[in-house]
Amino acid sequence: MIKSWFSVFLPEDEYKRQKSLYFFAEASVIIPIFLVVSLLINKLFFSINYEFLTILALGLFGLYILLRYSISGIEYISVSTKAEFNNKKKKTFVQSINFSFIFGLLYLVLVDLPNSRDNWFQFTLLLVVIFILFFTINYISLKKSYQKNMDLMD
Amino acid sequence: MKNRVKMARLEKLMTQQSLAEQVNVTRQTIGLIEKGEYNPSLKLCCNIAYVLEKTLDDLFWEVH
Repeated sequence: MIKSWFSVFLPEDEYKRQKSLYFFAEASVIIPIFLVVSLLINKLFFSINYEFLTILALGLFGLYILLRYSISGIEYISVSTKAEFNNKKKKTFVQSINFSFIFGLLYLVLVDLPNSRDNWFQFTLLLVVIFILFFTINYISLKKSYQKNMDLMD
Repeated sequence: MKNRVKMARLEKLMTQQSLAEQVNVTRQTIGLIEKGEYNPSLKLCCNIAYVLEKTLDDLFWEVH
């Protein structure tokens, strides 16, 4: 294995490690391009708030890696039968509920406590969207992993 | 890359999972190697050859 501090972010398995490294590298190329385009827009058209731009760039970086990782089918290496798939699907569903619940709790404690019926409605809607996003990304990853593992079985 | 890993593994009556555990990779990686969809590192090739009691030539050398 090549010695680098970055190794701590990579999986142990050599195929997964190589794939993950590509995802990070691709994202590391996309972000400078995104920043140059943003810089040009900023100079030529209208000014962009740097705080917003930083958050957007970080979000794009994370989202790109997450999506590439999810659709590559390398996350759930042990799911290769229908029973394992269904079992993992149930666990993913419960995990998504837990994640949304913890997110909601942290939001209430750290960000804001809704003070009207409308605000509570918006807050609930936010949690539902987060649940759907979390579950969908994990479900896609699970499905892709299952398909890939079935193709590679003995 | 074409190889004879699957044949050698079946000769030893070994499952993909068992080989994967012995060479410290995932079963998925072994499956990909057997299908020729992933070229393993030399270190992993040596480990697989050692576990399957074959030479690198036996497993990975392509005879035209």
